[in-house]
Amino acid sequence: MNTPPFSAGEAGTIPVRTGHKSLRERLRYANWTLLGLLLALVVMITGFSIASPYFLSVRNFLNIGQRVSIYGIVAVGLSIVMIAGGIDLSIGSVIAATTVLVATLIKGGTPIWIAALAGCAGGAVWGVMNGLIITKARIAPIVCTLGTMSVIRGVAYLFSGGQSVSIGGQAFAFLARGQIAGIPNLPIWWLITCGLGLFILRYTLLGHYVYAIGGNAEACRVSSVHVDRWRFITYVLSGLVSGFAGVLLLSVTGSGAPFEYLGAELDIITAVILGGIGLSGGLGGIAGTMLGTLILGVLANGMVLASVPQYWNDAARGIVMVAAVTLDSLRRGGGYR
Amino acid sequence: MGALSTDQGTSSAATLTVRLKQLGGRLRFANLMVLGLVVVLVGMCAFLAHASPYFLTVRNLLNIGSSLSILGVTAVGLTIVMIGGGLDLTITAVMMATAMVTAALIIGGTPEWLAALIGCGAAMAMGAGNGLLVAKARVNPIVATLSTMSIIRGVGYIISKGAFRGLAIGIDQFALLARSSTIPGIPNALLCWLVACGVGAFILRFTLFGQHVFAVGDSAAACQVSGVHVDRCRLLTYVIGGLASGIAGLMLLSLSTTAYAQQAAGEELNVIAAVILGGVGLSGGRGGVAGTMLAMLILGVMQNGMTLTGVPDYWQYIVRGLILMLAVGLDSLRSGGGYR
Repeated sequence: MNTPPFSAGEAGTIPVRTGHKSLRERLRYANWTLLGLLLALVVMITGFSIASPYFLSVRNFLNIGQRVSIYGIVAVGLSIVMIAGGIDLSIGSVIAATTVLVATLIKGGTPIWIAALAGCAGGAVWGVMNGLIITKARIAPIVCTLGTMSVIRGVAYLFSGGQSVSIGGQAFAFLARGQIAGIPNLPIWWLITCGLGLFILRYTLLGHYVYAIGGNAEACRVSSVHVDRWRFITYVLSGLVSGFAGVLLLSVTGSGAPFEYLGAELDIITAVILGGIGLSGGLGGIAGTMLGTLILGVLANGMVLASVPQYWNDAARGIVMVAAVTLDSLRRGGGYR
Repeated sequence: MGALSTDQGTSSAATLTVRLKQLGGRLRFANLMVLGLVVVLVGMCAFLAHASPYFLTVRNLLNIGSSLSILGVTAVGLTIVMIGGGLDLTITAVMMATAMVTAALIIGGTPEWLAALIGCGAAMAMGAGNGLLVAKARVNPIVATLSTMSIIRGVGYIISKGAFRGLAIGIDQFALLARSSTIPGIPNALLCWLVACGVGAFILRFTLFGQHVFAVGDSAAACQVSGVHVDRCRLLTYVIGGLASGIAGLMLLSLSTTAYAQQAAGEELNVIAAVILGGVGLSGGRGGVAGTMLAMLILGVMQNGMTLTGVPDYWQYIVRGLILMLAVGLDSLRSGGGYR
């Protein structure tokens, strides 16, 4: 998915890609991760459709979309960070802090659109903090964001005094709970975010360098790429996207709470890794992340409908994940040394 | 290290000198780190003793010690794993699962000692599962243990048939490990922690395996070419880590007499923070049990002190995050490196 599909028109302009491809060559360059994920998704949907009469319905699919959208949106920002070889554990805390901030602003009488923008900006500010600590103080991303995860959640608790801030049923609810032509807004926001993420990764300089830095930061540095600057931008983006997700979450729940999305960062990282973006970076894309998010969502939803007790959920997710990462590692001849 | 040990005969004196120098270097480094932590700890204690009349009482100090002891035992195992260059996010899930298995067996009528042994066996098996994923399937440790964490928590849910339905053992059962005091005045939990630290320090300092753990954490590639069994060493660190978490799980069961699937969830990050703070860092190859123990104490004293001086709970999140970043930041400044 990272290499654009070949077409006859391109053949003349890009000499490297000319010529007829043998089946073997096509197979070698096919994106096995994506195909595997797609296959897994289709198998799961087929299985759950057989197991439950309620699964294969438009209503249920909209339901799944509604459930996974916020995770899916945050996963887009995290994907960009992780393709560049970083990681961001503070996303769950940023979401919680944003719901508190925006709810407090709305309660204080701020117009809702200004409050929403302030929420996104607040998320971006946390991203700036992460980016500065990582690129200036040179603290490894996993340690830095582990620390800021704690700090940001603490600030959310302090700011709200440990209470949730309710905004009641207001016009703000339309942002995520409204519908356009029968389709809930939340999945639409998810698709828009994915589209933007795809555009950034494929067609902008940022996307180009994100893959390069994730592939080999040292090589980028000696080729005078501003590695730190691009890395910094990925964290700001991730913060911004998390802030946006926080605004949407507030719209869904109607109250800002400092304990929101505690531990959600691990679920979101699971989706991203399942989608084929390794921890070392340089690989994968938005399509994989979308599939990873959907697989986890379908798994959770289908197991409920197939009357599997809820408590099998974690184990099933873990088994899917172990299978995915082991296959991926074995196929690539071993990643971790 | 392996290359040196094969080098016998005429140059044995030279080898010995080299070894002593290496040992000296490591000790000097460790001492500096440990000394810094001791200074911080003493400073905090002095301040708190000044700020609150209740801090410097035997009862409060024992309280701090025994509340830290369960996670402290896990931290010893995690220290070994992380010195070997790995990471284990499953520690608290393994604790919970061990407590769950043991509780289920005790409720089913198994003798307590047998249930505890089976629980430890299960914990080692879980550690071995992690180790196989990391050492044999070559999955990155963070990813591998993130996935197995889900499975192990899931098994906990399956055994207890739901989120908050705990398994409770009798109030008089299984008290010896952590709830009672064999030596009057000193909780057994605290003794368990001290013993675990002693065993951990012995393994790391005085066994060949311990030496290999440091070497593998320092440079796995160099160990590979010097004939150290890197895979086996890594696998073993995870098994030991699993066992330590299993023992901590038994202590947890003994102390709380219940096991439920959400038990200790999220605490793994605190333990990891303590190990990093204690001088092991993220890259491995250095640090030790003493540093981890001091770091646990610093975090525990901080939490206790903030409660005693009436600082709102929420500040603990902020201070803990700042301490972690500060520690790693100072460490990378001193070693002149840092994230590239």
